[in-house]
Amino acid sequence: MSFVSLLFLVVFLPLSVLLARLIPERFRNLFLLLVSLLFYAWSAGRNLPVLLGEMVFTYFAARELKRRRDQGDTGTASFCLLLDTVLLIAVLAVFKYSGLALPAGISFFTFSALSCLFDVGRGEADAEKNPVSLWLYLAFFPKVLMGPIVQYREMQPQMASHPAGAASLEHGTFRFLRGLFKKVLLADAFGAAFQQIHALPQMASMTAILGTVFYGLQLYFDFSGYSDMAIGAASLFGFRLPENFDHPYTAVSASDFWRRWHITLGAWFRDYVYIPLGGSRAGKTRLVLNLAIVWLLTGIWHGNTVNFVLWGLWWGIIVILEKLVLGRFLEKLPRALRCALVNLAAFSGWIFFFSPAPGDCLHWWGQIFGAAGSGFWDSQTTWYFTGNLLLLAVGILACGPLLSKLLSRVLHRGERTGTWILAGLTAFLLLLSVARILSSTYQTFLYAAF
Amino acid sequence: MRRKKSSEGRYFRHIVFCMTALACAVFFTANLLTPDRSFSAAENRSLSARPSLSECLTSDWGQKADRWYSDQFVLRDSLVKLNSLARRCAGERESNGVYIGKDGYLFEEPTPKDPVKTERTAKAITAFSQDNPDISFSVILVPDAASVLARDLPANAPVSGQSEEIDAFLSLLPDSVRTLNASETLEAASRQKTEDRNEETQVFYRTDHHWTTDGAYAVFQAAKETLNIPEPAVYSRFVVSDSFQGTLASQSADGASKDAVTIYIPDSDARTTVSYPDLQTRRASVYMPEKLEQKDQYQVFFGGNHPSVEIETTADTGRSLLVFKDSFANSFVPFLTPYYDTIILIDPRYYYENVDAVLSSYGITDVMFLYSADTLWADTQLADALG
Repeated sequence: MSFVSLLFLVVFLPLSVLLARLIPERFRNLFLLLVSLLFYAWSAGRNLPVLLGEMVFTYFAARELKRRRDQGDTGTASFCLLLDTVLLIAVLAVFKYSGLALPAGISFFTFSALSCLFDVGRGEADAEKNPVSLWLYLAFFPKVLMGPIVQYREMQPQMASHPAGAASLEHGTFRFLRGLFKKVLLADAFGAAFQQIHALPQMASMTAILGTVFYGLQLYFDFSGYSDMAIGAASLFGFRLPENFDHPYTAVSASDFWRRWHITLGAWFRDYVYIPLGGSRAGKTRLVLNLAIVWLLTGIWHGNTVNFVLWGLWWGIIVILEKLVLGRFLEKLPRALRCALVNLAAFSGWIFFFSPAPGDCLHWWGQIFGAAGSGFWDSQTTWYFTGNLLLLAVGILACGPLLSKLLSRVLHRGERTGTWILAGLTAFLLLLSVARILSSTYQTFLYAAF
Repeated sequence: MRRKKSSEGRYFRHIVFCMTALACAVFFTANLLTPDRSFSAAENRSLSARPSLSECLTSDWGQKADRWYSDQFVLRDSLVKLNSLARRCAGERESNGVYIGKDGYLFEEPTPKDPVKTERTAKAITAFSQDNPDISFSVILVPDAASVLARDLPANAPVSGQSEEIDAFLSLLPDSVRTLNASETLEAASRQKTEDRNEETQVFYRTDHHWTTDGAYAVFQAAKETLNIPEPAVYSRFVVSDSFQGTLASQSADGASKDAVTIYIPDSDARTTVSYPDLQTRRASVYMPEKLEQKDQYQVFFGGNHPSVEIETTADTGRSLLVFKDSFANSFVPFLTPYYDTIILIDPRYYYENVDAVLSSYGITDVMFLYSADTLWADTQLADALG
């Protein structure tokens, strides 16, 4: 099951929200934990033991770390932390590289487990005796499959009390719907358009460029839509999850892009890898090394092929160049041009993402530079361009802050008519989303595979 | 002013929340109260049933439950149609592998020609004809609608014609095998106005991937020499349905057009007996009118596809025909009954018996291969059957 399954939307989510409100507060976390395990078993079937194993392991490891810290035994505490980290990473690596079916969400819940151990090990959060809240942190169903990777010290304080008042419910519903529309009406449509182009043996330059743009937009709406749904669903139970996206395609530098794309993963690497390594405060050589390590790890985290490593290095080189050499020069350029350059870097990077191997990347680049001999634009390009023109226009608009600004402008003006028109539009989009989910044969989210 | 702002945003969120909660409650209750369907006519498949208790213990119970719920979702067919309507309004001219053409035509995406498979098939036909030098061989290949009616495709649709591919395939066969590429005939017929009805002949259904009986008739007229038959007999034409919505309408969830189905009956006294070994029945006609009551009205011809069909006639011409075929032949073969005493139809996709035995036991004098390019380009079973 994913968030776009009708059984989830019509039965599972509404019923769990309703029951969570009826259950006495002291049993609420236990109820949510059981619901989350049901959700995970539903989507990942036989991989439930992997999640359960990591849950039990993390609980005892965290308790042990806390005990040693409390005893003032920081030396062995650090050694234990190292051992725990190696173990968790080893489990992740075994699944990623052995060719076994990857348990859904393992990259996400393993990083959550590591966050918990690091925070407890550094004394920034408490390892509670009651395992329910730690386990709920790891397995909470809105985020277990695809994040946001909320850090333990951010979520732990919410465990004691997370009242879901009317505002929280209404905000959560709207946020969830926004994500649903992004995923179902935009991401899946871009995905279908991309698949058609990707399947062509030969194409004109502009067709290949169009295909790359479709993929980049699919990835953004897919993942940011999912994040919206996760944040919205969590809000229905009174939890506040951190933001994961902030209009990344409007960024004006590579570093800016990564402060706006998959924010929680960037924050994780910043807090648990980059800063402990010394960050930018230990000289230029060390800075380059630290950045290279972080970007290599980011690449590896995303997938198990050479292409993901290359993609990580691609961004690593761009960020290092920007920080050390080009930054000052680029800052003088007009905003629009800087934004265009970042998008050029980002969309070029996605070619590593959708090509299975480096050879396929080269082939795609060949198509962009006219290797097919079909010129810059042919009738096929016209077909894919005109057939997706409306989608493309809406997609590009939705990448920027314009639509949300327009929405708040109408609402803030205080006209009942405007409000009702928007509500009617929302209802129509909801019906259309249900119709589209029914029409599609179940399509999984791209990020579930990582 | 500021207070009003936040209260307005709140008012909107309040409406959206109530609306969503109501929608969930309505769908939840409606799904609970509506009895499950076992079959979807629109999709032509069995719908998933509620997973049983034992199925709930398997590892993929989640997927089964999801499939059941979406298959049995209330108003499923209407919502799917709403989606396809919305996509067309958004400017899409392709839906689930079907091109939405002009004048109500729906076109299937052509099957890419597999060079390895088609070469093997050509070699098998060649060897089969050389092993049986006393039998007269013919091959008729039919292009798809997108190839013949390219003018009705949506502008710039990435589809190339099949006529050249068919010529290239036929050139692999020896001269002793008579061949016919139906492309030109069909295209000419589609542009020609008929005398009696003063309209252009519709050679393909708008909503189905098959050719119409009129299209098959035009090719039959052109195939006289290929099949070595005398001046065609006179046939009477009957329109037997005007409500046919075929496979392409289902595939694209487009319910806009409807097709007429016609049949032709030779004006002769010759009688016909049709036996269906798989059904163990005999009929006095090549047509099964009861199939017009079903979703797939193209099954009016022989009741659809069978591994083999035996047609006995009282034509008394001393000739017996063996046809290797796909479903396109179903509407073509009825024209042939006045010229052969026996006609055996074999659909190699479902037929696993020895073909040589058929040749001798029925005293076959003629063999015809009648296929659509879309089937033949990916087919392996014909070469297997010819062995």
